[in-house]
Amino acid sequence: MTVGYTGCVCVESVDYSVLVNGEQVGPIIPGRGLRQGDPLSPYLFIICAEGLSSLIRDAESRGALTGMKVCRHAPSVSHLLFADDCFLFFKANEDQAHVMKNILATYELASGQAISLPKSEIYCSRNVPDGIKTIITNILGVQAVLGTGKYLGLPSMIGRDRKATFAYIKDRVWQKINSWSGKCLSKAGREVMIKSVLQAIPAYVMSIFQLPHTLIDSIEKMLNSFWWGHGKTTQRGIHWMNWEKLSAPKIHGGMGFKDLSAFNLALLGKQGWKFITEPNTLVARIFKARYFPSGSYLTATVGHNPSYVWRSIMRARFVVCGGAWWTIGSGASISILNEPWLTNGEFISSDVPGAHFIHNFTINSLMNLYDKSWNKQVVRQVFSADIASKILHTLLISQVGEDRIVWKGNGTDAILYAVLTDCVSQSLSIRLTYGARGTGRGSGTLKFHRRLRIYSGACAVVVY
Amino acid sequence: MNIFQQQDNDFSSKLDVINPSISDNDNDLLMTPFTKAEFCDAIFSMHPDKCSGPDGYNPGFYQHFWTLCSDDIFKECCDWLTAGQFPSDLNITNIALIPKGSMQVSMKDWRPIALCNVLYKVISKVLANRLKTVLPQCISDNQSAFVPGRSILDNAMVAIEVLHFMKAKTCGEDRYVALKLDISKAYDRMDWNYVMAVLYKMGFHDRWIHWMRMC
Repeated sequence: MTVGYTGCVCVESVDYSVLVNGEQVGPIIPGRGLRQGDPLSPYLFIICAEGLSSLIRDAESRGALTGMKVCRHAPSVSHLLFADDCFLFFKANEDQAHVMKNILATYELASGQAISLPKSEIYCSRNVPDGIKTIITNILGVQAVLGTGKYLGLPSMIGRDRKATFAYIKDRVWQKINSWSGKCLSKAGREVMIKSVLQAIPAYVMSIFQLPHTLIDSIEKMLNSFWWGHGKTTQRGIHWMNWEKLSAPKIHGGMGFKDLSAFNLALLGKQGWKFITEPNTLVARIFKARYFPSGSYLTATVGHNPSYVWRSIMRARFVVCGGAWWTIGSGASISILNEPWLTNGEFISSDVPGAHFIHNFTINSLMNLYDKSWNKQVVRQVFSADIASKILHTLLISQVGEDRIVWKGNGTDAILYAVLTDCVSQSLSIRLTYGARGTGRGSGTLKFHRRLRIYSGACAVVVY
Repeated sequence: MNIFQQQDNDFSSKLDVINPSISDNDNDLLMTPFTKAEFCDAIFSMHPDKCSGPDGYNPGFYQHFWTLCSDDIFKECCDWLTAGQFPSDLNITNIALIPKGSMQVSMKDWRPIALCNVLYKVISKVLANRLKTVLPQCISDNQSAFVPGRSILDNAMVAIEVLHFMKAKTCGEDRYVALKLDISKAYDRMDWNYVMAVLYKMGFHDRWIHWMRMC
């Protein structure tokens, strides 16, 4: 069914006429609605949502609403908007619930948006007594109480059973495989399918959560049996090669599939990297206040009662540590221990002898005040001979104004993933021993037609 | 209530809380004369095989013949923008209905997508690209959709962190509630007068608001 309409000179005077079974019905004269498909619409929408945001901010500054602080020095969060996905936070008492209800009613009336409170969900912190809970649900007219809901397509509450929380990813991969496997894809078709459809499914979740190993294993098993299968789900082919070898890059004789756990760490490392390079975003400020108030991501510890997101990002820290490197400006923001500021991104670990003396110092205390050079006397006094020589060999360039962290080699964002994934698989020692063998290598480097390449690759894979 | 009809109401009092955040400098930037490069970027950033509007020319056509027709397109578009008026047939769109979910029972289960003429989309895109540059200043940190340099994951991570905090909070006097809103048909119900009033309040140039109104 298609509906055509004519008219529309400008926003003010659009009129729709609808073709229903070939007859023109209309005109309908609207005064609302952004057109989905017009490049400007999204921006006008968020500008409109800014109206709600400023109403809430105003109430917050008057003291009528209280935003939430995850710890004492964290910025307070009273609302999170992502297009039409909204989360509002306030204190659990009658007054604030009334204020919030008024704000929503005002916004609804002015903007024309329809907020359906009965369909909205609330979640109370665990110290809220049942009595207050009922009062608030009554005031707002909210029915359901949010359990383990999703926000922006990500599970927003992670319990102990991570496997169950993320099991839906496996289901989705399974559904995709089932909907295609009957259709007899060619080998090349399957390669594309795995690379750009199946492996893309977990990518979004993996960018902030570390998936359980068992889950990753079972996803990889499914992909492997899809790759070797004969089209129908019941017929299993012989797995001539295990997934580990298939996931090696083509240049090393594999098929270039992603190693999901390495890819997961790379994506998590990217989030950690963003804490360092973009410290002024809301998320970076909150995490800093909560987990590393006096240090940086590179020196942070997991801390007390961490969320699963932070736990995951911390697990990927070794990847970032392996590639990050300070270029030294004034040196005032780089602490001596655990920060990669020596040549080649090496760092002084906190178990060197005498570490507790220099615990809170930054590296400008090792430099001369009048010009940018190392204070040799101090360096030799504090450190053992080999560390001291490493420090003295670290270049200080007087042109560099401020301390900046950079990625080793080509530090552009675009290739960060690639470099990260590469680093990770190296450090996980997934490098293949048979990598440089004959046809396997040729199939990756020579410019064959894709189908030919896969065929020869598959042969090579089978032969070895 | 007719959801497509405008409500006659006076929201000036409700808009007082919006701070003007667009400086004269930003306005100058938005109002600088258009260049051909902007139009070129806009055309070539579209996918060549995207569906065409009622006039039947898809982006691929314009991309292929860009060297031939760029001067004419550029001149005409600039004329329209300076005159503040589009030709009446430029802004015609087809509406295609995209199914939502697996079962389509009522009209709610379809999402209307407007298929605009490519020529119109180019202008709209040029304006959108300019608007994008000033967005980080006028959109607060709490919104991360569509603003360059902000990511969906930022919001998701904050939400998860906050909910984790709430879950761990078992004692103390600070009691909190999280409310997750359900806004239905958010796009289709946006009141134009309200959007324009917000734009005005933020301090956008009158001319710019007029262009937004045209689109």
